[in-house]
Amino acid sequence: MNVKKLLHNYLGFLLTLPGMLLIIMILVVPLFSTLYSSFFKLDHLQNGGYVGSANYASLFSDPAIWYSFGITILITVASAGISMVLGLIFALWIDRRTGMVAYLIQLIGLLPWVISMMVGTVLWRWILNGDTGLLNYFLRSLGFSPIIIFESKTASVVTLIIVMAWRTIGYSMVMILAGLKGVDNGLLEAARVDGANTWQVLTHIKLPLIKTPILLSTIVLTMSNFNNNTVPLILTGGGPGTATNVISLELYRMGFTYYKFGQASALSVLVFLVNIVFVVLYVRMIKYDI
Amino acid sequence: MQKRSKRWIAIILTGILSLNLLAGCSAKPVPSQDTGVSNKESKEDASSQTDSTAESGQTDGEQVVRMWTFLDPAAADGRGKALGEIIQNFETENPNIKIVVEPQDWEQMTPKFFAAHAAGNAPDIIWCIMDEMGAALDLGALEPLENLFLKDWSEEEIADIDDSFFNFGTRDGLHYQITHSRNYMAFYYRADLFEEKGLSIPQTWDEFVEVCQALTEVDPQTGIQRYGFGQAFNVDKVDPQIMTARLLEKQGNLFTEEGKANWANETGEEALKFQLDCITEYGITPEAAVNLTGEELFTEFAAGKYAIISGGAVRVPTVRADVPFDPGAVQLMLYPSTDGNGHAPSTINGWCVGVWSGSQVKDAAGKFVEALMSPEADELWVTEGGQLAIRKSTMEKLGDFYQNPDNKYLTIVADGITNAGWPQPTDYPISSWKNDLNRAAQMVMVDGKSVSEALSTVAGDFDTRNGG
Amino acid sequence: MIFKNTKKNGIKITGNGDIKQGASLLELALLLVLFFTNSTPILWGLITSLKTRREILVYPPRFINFTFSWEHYQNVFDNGLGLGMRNSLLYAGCTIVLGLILGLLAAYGFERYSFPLKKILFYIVIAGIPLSIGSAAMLIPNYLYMMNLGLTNKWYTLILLYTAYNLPMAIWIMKGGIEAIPLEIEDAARIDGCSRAYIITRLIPRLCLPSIASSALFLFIGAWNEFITAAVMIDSPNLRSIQLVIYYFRGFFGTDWGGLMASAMVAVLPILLVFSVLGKLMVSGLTQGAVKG
Repeated sequence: MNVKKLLHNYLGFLLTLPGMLLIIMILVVPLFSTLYSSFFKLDHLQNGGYVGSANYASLFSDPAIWYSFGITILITVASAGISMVLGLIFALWIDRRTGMVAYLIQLIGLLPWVISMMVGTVLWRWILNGDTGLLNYFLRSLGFSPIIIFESKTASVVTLIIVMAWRTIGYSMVMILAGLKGVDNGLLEAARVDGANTWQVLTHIKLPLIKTPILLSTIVLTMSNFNNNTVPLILTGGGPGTATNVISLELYRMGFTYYKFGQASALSVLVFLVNIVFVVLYVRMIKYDI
Repeated sequence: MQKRSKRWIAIILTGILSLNLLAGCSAKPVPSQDTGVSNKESKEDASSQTDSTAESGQTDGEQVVRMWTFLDPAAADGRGKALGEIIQNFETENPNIKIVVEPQDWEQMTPKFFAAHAAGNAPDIIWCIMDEMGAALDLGALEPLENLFLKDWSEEEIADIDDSFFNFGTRDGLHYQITHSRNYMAFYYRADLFEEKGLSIPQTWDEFVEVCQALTEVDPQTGIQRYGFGQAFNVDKVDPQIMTARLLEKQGNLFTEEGKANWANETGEEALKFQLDCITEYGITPEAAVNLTGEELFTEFAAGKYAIISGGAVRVPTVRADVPFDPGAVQLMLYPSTDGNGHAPSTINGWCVGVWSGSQVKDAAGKFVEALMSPEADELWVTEGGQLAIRKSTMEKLGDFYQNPDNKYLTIVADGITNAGWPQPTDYPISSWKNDLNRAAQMVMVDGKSVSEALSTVAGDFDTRNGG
Repeated sequence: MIFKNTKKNGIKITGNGDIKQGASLLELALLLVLFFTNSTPILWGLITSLKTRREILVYPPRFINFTFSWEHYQNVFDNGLGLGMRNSLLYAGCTIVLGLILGLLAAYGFERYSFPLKKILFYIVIAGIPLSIGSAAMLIPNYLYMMNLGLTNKWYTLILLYTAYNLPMAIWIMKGGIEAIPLEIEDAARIDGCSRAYIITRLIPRLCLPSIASSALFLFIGAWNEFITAAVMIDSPNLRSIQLVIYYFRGFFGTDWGGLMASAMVAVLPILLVFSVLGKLMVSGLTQGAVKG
């Protein structure tokens, strides 16, 4: 009797246990080991001794790191925002259609996301190449002057934002669409009967009801863009100069080019903390109840 | 009732959390001084796992040797096939030894090896990139080849392979690697365009600029704006650029004896200035060079955008297979010099094949490393893989092969390596000097800093990173 | 009340038929424009994969007047793409199964119960998203950790890792799906004599199919397109995932454009296939009107 009651009261906990164990073992524990490593000097993985918070101190006092965080936040928020808005538009559009048309729109929205990230970025870099790329080839044939992208600081930032947004539209589209399909038709009909127009139905009924998918997509997109080092590395290499030197590139360089794993661990921890700040902000903004 | 159940939960949770924390804290980096004990323990763990993958070690008299490389013997390209043949021949001659190749992504391979070494579970043979050889030696990750097979070699045999590659990374007279996929930075040039314009190979840097200027024009056939000389200053995917050659020409080394950066001086400024003048003054390099990658230099060269680019000689076969024009037009020439005598030194590079110091099958691994550069194997590397020969005897034996105009570049490069080759120092850490020099170039072009300021900034960064 | 699902017929009930038709044409045009801007890179990749090797890098670029050739597709299959695909199908398939099981149980637990530590555990789930996406940064420590656990280079290595990486998101999605199922349905089922186990394993999944389908799709794509973890945690050539095969063409000696594009194109197909199957489920809207009447 005791065991049965125990099981029932804590059934919820037991249900979550296997999944949580996996998450904790694979995701959370390494975080602690990274935290531990961040207090050592670990060049080339040689244990150079305990250095306390020296790694963190050198990061905080480096203006390049501050700048990098700043430009990363800018690029991340911009691309996540564009992606969310476009994904929402796509999803609303598909919601009004069925059959082949809906399927086609979904497919078109999904393609950027399903292709290997490296290949997609490599193709963009090729297409946008100043002299041999498709874009400028077209512009030149039509008589316009070519667009200079990768030598220009602002153009590089804008292009990075666009390519990152391009890649993730499919994700938000799928998420929001699933949420939209869960909205009860009865509510929509009732609202229209009451005289609401399409816009009011959208803002007062649909959007509030898909709060969760929107929140989740925004979080995932922001995280995805913030931590993405493949796209910036291939598309702009952090340049020209330091124009697009996002923090994930700094992290990559610290670990794999300079082999300073102690500092890289410290930076990983900082990046993780910034990510958590984003998540907390979003959850607060949307007033999500767990 | 409530209190009891709460206590149970607390006990279970504490147990789980502490188990996890223990596991996490035990995964700290292993001090590299003594890996002997931890090797044994992990090896025992390793052999007790059942899986479908090969484990090094001994089973019933058969020894399994694991090798990490970026080549794939199962692949269809020339080098992969050459490796496959060499393995086949070796296994026939040594029926008790099995070679298992685990192809890796070349960018992750070296850091992965360092991590595997720290964890005591590295492969028996590793292809380590030359830039990180110093670090590998500092970590004690490689076994001296003298302990394995070199001690049995006669003087003549050693003389056959004795060159700057063989002596790369020696410590206390001991050799730790054999260099494969030997690379040398030289100028790729369009022999067809040279012929068309009646140009000859430039011997001095001034002649070089003139030649490039003559080649800078709009291509009448394709309509592309051609530049005489392509450069690439991307900070992440880097090849050494020509300022390295000019620095080496005057100074002989990029670093001081203590391992500090030695380019924040007049020679360095002059070298960097020349590099950038190609864009701003001579007009032979496009502005796009500022953020171009080494890879793109080659694709744009194939598209006909450049007449000359600096690149690693190891890529000649690939470039020739890619170009839409006559592949024979792709030829190599060595760097010119300031006064026309000889050539400016160029960086040699390659992949250092060594045996892991913690291997359980060192002798078998050593045998295979030896086989990888046997006279027969060397021939295969050259003829099928398009590589530079390791042995002098191979070059003599394949005289006809080298006479073929398509293979002329191999002799040119061999000459360059012998007379104008600069191997990177291994006595002190030099990580990412190439990135730093390119960063200096970007600082000047993009951020408008002065040449001296840029050079001293990156020199300072380099020193902090590698010395402190 | 009986609801006519106005969406099922693809007809928007508006004022008059003319407006509906006009909108369709405009939409088709928009669709075409979107198609080109969104898919230009992929189209270009496809065209590149079908050219002969020497035509790929030529300037001016050719989209129509090139010599058609299957050589790259033959080449990539000679270079292990078949094996990579088989392995990735295994990894992704098992990830879906494991992820859905663990995720559904956890989502139900979080949504329908309250227990001590629930908030903390869910915070961990939320934190799991940046941890999994940012795992590339902690790659070498992760590698050492996995090696110490003896989990590297096994057939189940990537399955465990990919499930863990995508589980937080799957849990969150399915929790949202369960949230939308009214409690009355479950109560009605209990009254009818269904066990809790039946509810969790049979009833709930049927009622939140869109969430499950979305989670399945994300689990699949997360496992299919991941590269860096596979590159580091796997050594044996016969355990290689499809992304490793694709990256092989971006090798040390240069990029094999034809091979790279061909392998990437082939790799997209299974995802599209999975999407075709799951896509219908994702938009099925089965929960509508289930309680009324």
